[in-house]
Amino acid sequence: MTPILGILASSISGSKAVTNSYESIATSTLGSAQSTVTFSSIPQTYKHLQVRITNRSEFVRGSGNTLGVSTYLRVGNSGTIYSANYTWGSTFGDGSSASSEHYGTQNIMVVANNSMPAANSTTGIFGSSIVDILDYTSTNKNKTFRYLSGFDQNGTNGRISFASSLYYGTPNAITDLQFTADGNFAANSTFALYGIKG
Amino acid sequence: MAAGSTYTPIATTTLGSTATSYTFSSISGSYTDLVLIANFKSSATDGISIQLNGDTGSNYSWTLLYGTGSVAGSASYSSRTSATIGYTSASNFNTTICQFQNYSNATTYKTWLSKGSSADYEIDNMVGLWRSTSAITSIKINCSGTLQIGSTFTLYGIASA
Repeated sequence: MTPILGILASSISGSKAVTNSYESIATSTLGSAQSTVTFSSIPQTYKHLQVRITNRSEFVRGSGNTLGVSTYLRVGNSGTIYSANYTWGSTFGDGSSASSEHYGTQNIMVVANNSMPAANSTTGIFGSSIVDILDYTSTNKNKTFRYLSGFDQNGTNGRISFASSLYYGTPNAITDLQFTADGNFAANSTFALYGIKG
Repeated sequence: MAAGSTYTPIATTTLGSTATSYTFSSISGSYTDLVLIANFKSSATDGISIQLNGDTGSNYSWTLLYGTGSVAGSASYSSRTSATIGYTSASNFNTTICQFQNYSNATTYKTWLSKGSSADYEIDNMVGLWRSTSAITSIKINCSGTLQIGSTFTLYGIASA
């Protein structure tokens, strides 16, 4: 991933751009399918982080199966990605019923709980996720995460997921985020990292 | 990693008189995402919905997760002429925050995430779809009742690095 300088975009007539506490840090737009998207050496100068994701997977379900698949997240410090000490829970709706689930002692966190379109999903549809990472520079408390994710495909097999997770290993500051998926992320998937000052 | 300040207010309005709709038009394509924040009150217990780029065809759908204080549920709606992004009671002001990600690309259908909060009616998380590859240049906010005086609608732009 190559960081690119941010652009303070123009506004429509009658308003003006302002400087504020929400800053673009880096963006990864996939030119081809890719199994992993990693943000590394994240600046420690913010209070919170937000990642805004538009994505799709190339995971192939059975013929005619348009159900979604999942996006996952691991965190790390100084290039070491942690592969244990996670827990997560999700409440989700599939258009017919609401359900909730929780998993302790996991090796990864689920961002979009079967809420990302897969290879058999309707062409042209990408899912959306917003990831909030609170107090990521703390060295004395466990890190908590919040997610809102979903995709819709004209009323069939869409899914909306509201989730939270925890990394309860050694409370180092987070300097690395590693996103993976069921299958590869499809080309044109985007991952945009923002920092929020405190 | 370089950083750039963003989350820029594009336009805002506070209704000085009742209205059945409000439209953000000529939206710049120079951002990556849009965020619509609505704080509104309606004459009817129902919802607010959106139409994009003036499209009144049956090209909208959404999937909904909701809680009413007594039950939680999910529903989906297909091939509609507009998309609900938040529900409202007629008694109080309600809040809806709607996130349009990658809104200006011209190759994919447009998906948005919406959170609606109506303290005396229900809370919602929604994902919506507009089956069009056009960049979003206008957002019309409709209300089945009448939007009340003091309702506010603000549109922000987020530009990624």
